Amino acid sequence: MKFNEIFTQYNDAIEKSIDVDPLGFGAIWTYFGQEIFQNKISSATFDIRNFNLNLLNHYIIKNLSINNEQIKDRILINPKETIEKLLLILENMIVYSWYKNQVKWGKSRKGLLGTSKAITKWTNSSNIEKSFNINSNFKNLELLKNQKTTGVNGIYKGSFLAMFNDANKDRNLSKDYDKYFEDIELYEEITELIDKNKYLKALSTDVIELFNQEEIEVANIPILRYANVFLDHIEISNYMKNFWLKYLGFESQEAKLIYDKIDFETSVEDIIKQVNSDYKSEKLENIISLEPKLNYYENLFYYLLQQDGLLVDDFEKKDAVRFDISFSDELEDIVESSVVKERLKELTNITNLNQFIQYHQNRITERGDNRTPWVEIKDNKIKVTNINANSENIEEESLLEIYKDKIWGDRFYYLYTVSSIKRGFER
Amino acid sequence: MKIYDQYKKVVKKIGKLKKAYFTTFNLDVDFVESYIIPPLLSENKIKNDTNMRLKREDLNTNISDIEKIKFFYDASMLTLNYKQTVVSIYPVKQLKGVFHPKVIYLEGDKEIYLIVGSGNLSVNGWGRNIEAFEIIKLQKNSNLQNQVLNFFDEVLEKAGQKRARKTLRNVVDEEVNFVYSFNKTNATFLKNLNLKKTLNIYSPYFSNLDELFNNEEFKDLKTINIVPNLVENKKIAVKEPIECKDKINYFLFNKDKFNEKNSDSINHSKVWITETRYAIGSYNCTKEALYGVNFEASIVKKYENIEENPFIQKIASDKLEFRVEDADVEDELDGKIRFSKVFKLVADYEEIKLTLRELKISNSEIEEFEPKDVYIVLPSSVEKKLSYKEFIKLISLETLTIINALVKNKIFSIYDKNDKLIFRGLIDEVGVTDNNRFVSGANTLEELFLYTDKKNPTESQKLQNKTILSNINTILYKKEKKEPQYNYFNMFIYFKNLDIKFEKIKDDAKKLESFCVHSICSLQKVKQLLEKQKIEPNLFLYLSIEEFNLIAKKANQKYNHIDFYLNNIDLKLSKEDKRFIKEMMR
Repeated sequence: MKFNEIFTQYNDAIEKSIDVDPLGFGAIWTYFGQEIFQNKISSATFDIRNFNLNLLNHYIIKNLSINNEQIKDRILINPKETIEKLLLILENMIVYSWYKNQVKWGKSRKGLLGTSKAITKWTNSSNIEKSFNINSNFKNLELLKNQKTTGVNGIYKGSFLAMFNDANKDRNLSKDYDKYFEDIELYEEITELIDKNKYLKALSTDVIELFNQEEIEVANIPILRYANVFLDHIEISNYMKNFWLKYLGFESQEAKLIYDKIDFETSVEDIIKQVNSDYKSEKLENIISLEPKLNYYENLFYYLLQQDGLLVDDFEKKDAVRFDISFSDELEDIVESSVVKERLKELTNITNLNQFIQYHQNRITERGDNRTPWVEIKDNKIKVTNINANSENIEEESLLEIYKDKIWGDRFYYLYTVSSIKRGFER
Repeated sequence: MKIYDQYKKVVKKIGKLKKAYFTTFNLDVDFVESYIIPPLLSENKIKNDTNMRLKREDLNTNISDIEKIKFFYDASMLTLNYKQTVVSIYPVKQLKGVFHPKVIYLEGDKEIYLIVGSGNLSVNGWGRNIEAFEIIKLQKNSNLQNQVLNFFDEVLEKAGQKRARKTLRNVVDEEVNFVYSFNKTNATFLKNLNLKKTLNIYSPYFSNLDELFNNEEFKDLKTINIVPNLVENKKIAVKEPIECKDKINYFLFNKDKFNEKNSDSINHSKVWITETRYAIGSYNCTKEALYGVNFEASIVKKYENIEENPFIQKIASDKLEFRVEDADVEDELDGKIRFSKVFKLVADYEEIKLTLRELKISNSEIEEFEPKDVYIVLPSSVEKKLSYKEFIKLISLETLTIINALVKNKIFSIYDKNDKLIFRGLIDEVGVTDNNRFVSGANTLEELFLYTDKKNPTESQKLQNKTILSNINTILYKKEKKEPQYNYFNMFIYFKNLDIKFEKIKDDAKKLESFCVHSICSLQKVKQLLEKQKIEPNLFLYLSIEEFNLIAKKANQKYNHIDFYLNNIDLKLSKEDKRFIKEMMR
């Protein structure tokens, strides 16, 4: 027996399944997109009705925390759990409105989270009671699996915090639930907004009243009032429009101009270029210069994956293969993200295939878990190790075109989110 | 030593495959289909030596080879990922303890090989950990071969399969023995080791050493050298011994010398060395392995002389941190649900039949029962649970739909009447022939639509010659001769892959965003592509769009995504076409 013949060594020819974003570009375009929108929107937060619903729910909780002795006590003892449970109950109420009155709601179920689960869960009436009882455990309260993060508040939480908080504050979510209402002016502004609209006022009053009873009587949930406010939400959304434009940051220059210009028909490229021609902005210039470069490198990478076995020299000699891309202009304007800074520096320093592959390998290594890169160089040849990578075929000509004509890819820099929000106000 | 390289060498030596049996504690299907199966199949045997990540579905064209391969794993330890081949994998459940052996038996027309070791069939077991394996060429009808065949007969029985034969005659050999044990307390393994004064133990897990070494078999030992694994925070997975402290020396792998490429490798090997014998296999230094409840296996061999292990170095016990609790079975379960029951669900392609049985395990034998009070979730009815009554009343067309759905998904789940998950496994496909299951490789969506005028995306000639067969397509060809030869299977696989990706990333907001909108193969791009195809609507496109809409709907429900991509694609079919499709789908 020889020890080196029985003990096994690390074997990187064996690897785990594949992943996406091999060049780690997600972080880069997200950064430049959020430079414009300041984290107040994300690709998951686009439905203005849900902005309204979440705001109303938080308003009700804040109101209860001031005026309802029972809730006040609960919040003192266990603020996180109480607020989370109240949010779930409030989210369930609008679903209940739909559930009890599907004739009225008709096809408008879209965007209401939890309706299909409600159909199965609420066939048992004891489950309905549990969905509105603050003493239920989370599992009984939740309609959606893990509703705390997948429900309206979960999805919109990040945006809400960014909207109402000073961006530099340390964000401890458990504490921050009601932090924005520490700003008493903001709370008064919202109170006034709700009080002045008869539908919102009536709905919030009824719901607050429900909580003032010993137990929530399901039969008393104001299903019609919910429908009045949220079924045809155009009216309310229009009413809330100025408030949201202010807090979503669409009053800042670039964002406002984009908001004004945007529609579903125009491409991201055209909008950004148009806005930039009206109003020169570094943030926009950065995207204009950045996007074609990212697009070229991304396509080059997928083109590379088609070249298994080719000599490195032969690859580098190809007309469409260029490693002369510099991101130094964009780099100058990065203030915050060290990750993006490092990545752009690394990309700028690439002068040959070896470094390009090294860049990719670095991204894969960062993800840990002993992953191996999709492509490497062996015996001076390109060796593709991940033939399962789901990529499109790229011709050399089109690659060259991307390089020469500075063609954009599909990164959207949150513009479609903006257009969805806009449509929510206008249609 | 790289076990995968050795494995490939052995596979080449055996000649034409006759039998390949594998046992493992945990089984990673993705790993097995990517690495273990391909070298065994005749079509892939020579080519592709360096890159085994073949298109999986291609493997099924070797159906006669596939039928010769069997995998056995611990019923709770399946890594449930996407299974594409129709290869048989059987769950085995121990009454107590775990099904733990890691044994490979490879029989060809030229040679027979046995591989016994510590590595499970997973990426970690074959590429990351420090494991130990012994590879032995078996002589036909030898004592050793008989021992191994008897072992697999026991395993077959425990998996609810028929035994191949009566127990073969074998004796305890002086030189070499294949030792296995389950539900036995007579310490067969230790007796075979012939313990005297010195014992070296390589093991990642240990029971309370004071208790363990108090057993009869260990009593005469003067020196025990232990090579453990360091676990979380550099602790050793053993309670610090007190009584037997002075007998024990500790050694650690010097990773700079042995495994410099990955300093995080864990020592998962299980090796036992006495003055005259050494053993390599699955036996950890735990009471569950040595005296009782686990199903374990090892090779035990006599040796003349042995070198000192150059890869380990001695370490003082005060330099080590011991864990407070001693190891138990749960340690290896790795957070997986321990299923209390085992079921087997067989899909018979020839008879278009589904059979569900519960396997009941008692100490000595396994019995099959018709299950009671269970609810079944099948691949084609993801949301709907069928009671067993409903299940046996499925009409043949429904059964056919389910069997057809197996190309996309083979997972079934069993719930009890309290809606608690009691078992999850993979449906066993039997009666598969070259003609009753249509197969091909899957790549990009674009390829699917370019299939007719560009080169065939699959490499294998056999596939190219194969006609696509399914109840829907056959009718379609008859009716619409002009329809290009679209590959329906590829299409389903493509969307299944998308679905798998979605399931993987759906809880990660950033990844979901990338998946939906801006990755290189985002849903948005897929949608654009499908929209482009709308100029020439046909059944293939119709089904593609149906598949796409299902995923879009799920993505929508999960994160309530942007309007324009959520909308279902509307094919705007003529009334006549709609009627046609309705009929087809019925």
